[in-house]
Amino acid sequence: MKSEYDVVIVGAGVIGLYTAHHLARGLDPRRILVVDRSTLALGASGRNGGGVRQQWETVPTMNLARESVHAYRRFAADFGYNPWFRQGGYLFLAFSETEVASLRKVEAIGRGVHLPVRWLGPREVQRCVPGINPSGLQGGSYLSSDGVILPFPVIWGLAASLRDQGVDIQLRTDVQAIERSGGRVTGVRTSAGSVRTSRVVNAAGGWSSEVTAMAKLLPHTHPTLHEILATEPLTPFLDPMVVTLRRGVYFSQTMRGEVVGGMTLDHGPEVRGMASTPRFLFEMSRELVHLLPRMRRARILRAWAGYYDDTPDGLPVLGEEPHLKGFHQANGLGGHGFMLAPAATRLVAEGVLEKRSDQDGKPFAPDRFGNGDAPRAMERLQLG
Amino acid sequence: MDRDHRITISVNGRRVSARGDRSLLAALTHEHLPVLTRSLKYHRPRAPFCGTGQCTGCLVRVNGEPSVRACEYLPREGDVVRTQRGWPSTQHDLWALFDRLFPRYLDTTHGFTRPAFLRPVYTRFVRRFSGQGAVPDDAPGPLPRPLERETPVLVVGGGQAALSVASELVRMLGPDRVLHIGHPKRPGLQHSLLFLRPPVRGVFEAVAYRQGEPALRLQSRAVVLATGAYDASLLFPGNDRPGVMTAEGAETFASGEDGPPFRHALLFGAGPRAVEMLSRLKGRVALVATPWEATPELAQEATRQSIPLHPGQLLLSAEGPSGIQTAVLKDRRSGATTPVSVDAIVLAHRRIPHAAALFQAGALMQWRDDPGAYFPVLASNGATSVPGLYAIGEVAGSGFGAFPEEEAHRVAQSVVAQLEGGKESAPEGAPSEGPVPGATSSPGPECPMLSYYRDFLRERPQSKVMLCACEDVCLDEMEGVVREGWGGLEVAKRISGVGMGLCQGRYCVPETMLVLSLLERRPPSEIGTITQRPPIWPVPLGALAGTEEGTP
Repeated sequence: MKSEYDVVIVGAGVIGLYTAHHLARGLDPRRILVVDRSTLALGASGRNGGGVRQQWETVPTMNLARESVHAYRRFAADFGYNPWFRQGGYLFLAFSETEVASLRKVEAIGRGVHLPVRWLGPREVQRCVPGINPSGLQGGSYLSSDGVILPFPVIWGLAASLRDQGVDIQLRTDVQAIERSGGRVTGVRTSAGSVRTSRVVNAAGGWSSEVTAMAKLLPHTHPTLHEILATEPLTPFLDPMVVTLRRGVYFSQTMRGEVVGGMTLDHGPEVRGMASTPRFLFEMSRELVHLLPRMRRARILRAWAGYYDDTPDGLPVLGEEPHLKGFHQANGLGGHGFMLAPAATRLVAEGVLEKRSDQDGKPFAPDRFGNGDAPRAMERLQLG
Repeated sequence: MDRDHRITISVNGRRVSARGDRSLLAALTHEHLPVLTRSLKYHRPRAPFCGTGQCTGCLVRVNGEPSVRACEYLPREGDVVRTQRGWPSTQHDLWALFDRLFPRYLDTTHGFTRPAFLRPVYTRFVRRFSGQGAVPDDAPGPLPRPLERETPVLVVGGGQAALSVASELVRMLGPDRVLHIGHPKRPGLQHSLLFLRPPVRGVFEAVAYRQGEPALRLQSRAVVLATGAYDASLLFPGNDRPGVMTAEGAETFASGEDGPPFRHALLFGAGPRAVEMLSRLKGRVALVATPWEATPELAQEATRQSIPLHPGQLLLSAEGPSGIQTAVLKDRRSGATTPVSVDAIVLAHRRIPHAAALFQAGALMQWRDDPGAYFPVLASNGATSVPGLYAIGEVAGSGFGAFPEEEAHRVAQSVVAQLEGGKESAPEGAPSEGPVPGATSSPGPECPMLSYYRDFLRERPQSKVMLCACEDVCLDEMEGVVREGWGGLEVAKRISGVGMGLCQGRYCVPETMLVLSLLERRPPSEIGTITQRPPIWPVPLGALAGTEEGTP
């Protein structure tokens, strides 16, 4: 670690590393520092279900997602690490009229930006997900170019490429303070010493609110516990990622054959720490077996937990803080950091480099929280 | 019911007579262990290894259900059993070609990356080879709801320590206040613990399961873990061959009608476990090799049975056309190599505690160089750093076969004192919260297994050494991981898949910790370990998913 950097990125997850990757094109890579409290892939970047989709309720998010899908299609060839991106589609299921209406809206928005989202009737859904329980099923929205990725190789590929370029990745190092003076960032104090810098990127995921607070700003994000389980490897039978709007249940089958799925559970303050709960095991098993009865004979191999970094409006926080020059947010991705990382971080990097972006960054800018009014809920497809 | 309880099952379309009171594996085993499956990546032939429902060596399809552990399944009249891997058959599998095509290892992390336009083709091709079996899409019946139960004390384990402490507790508290659930060694036949959460306001939440029944959801104020230990794997070329088995495996397989499924075994081990195996496998052990000095008891027993004993040996390799014909030993001091003719290798050199529940509940753990594993930090009354959680027997660090009866009494007394509102003693010097594995390291001579592997790695084995048999991860692959600059067990797990297989890391993690320690030149306690994720034993979703009232 040197004593001065052009940029310090807090967090070596997919967001931090991808930000560094974009910045290394505009800055001297040796003047970029990525610092992480833990080691690689131990936060949400190593704990997510690998879903990568472009079906969203808002056009700017859809555009980020589309660019990211394009990046992941090329990732193996670009980085030499294979994340086995498999475009088996994403299928959102509707079990009520309200859900049909929400998904029809997604279909319409998607078509408006030339994403071929298709509406599948109950019969077509049954063909797409062999063995699905048809009871109450009204249909679903489907996009075949959505898919599932193996998260780990993305992390190794980015880290190895950054290391080769000379970017400093400082692991097992706590950030203890963000130093500021006269409305500007001046440095970062870490457990391995202090560094001077005029630019900090907060890519701390589930810990981003703590880092924002270190900069003496009001946090916009809050961490929520999310759990996932995986079954023993099964012979492939399931192509798409399947998502229900009710309870946010999602599941897909990985390249190794494991069925991996999770759901939204509000644990309340009782549950602390990044650990699984019996409640999740029981409720998720019930939901999964209800949706796909054949799964009752598959065995759960493991379950794990991680943090979503949520925002009040369901949109990420990307860009410079209006009241602290040089402090850039790259967080609040609400469990979708992996799927949006390549494009979301390009937006952040262009902000750091003060370049104009061709992506519409306005809906994600931190100044939307500034005026005291609670922000309007905008993106409700915060699941899967 | 007739005395033998004979039934008829179908195995790959053939009618086979079996005993309904013995495991399915017993029905499939005759003179030798059968090749029941093929490995995940290289389609190497695999036979049962552990005999305790942990390895992937006996996974078969029973009545359409995939990946049933034959060693823990009691067959029923008319059961349809099929092997589930290999084409055209498990015995003769064309895809074993992969094993020859990739003599070192198949690198799925860096491989199949270029050209970019072929990515979907690679993906489709590789995906075809994934998975262990299919889930049948048949008409489901209603599933019974999991049972919920509160008990003041939960005792877990089926060995002597668990029985002693449970009977002491029943004597002191009465049978209604103590729940004793089975052994982790026999998950199919008795309840086994799947998950133990750290206590919230003094109450532990636990999940247990027995084959064919809905899961048990338990709440308890005190938990005594007497989950015992298991025999470890060993690294050498050919260590995944049919015929290599743990001592526990040999015990299980020896209980079949024909006795042990071998005639001239190599017994590998130096201590009391090897002594026990010598007496259990009477007449079927051709020679004993010890990785370090043999105990006097072992030397004596070998002499008594006139079995040659080779002390201080490296097990260099095991070879044969199918199964094992030859093992090669190398004297660690003189360097002399000895090929020996054997038809099986029984591993009895190292016992690892069944400590998953202790990790899950957040107990402070301590690395011990001998045998090279984590044990709970304990007070003299068996209390762990987690209030209300106790450990006793082999999982607590009392050696193999060395369980002192009076310990059960002491632990039972402190459990009762705690329930009656008395103050329990926390282990001295242990922090009251924030338990982290690997915080402490015991002084003393170097880990014997570590120095064994140092000698072994110098031999530069030329063919595949299976670090993780479930996921087909080779030793070479791990060397590649370290060469690239990655380190620590958590990262190595996420790169290679070590620890993510069906054995829940029980056979690969103890070896990988030592190998990484040598490759990274750091003490084993700095390599870290993996999180012990639930369930401790893989459990069918159906056991947790039930919604119907009433018992099955």
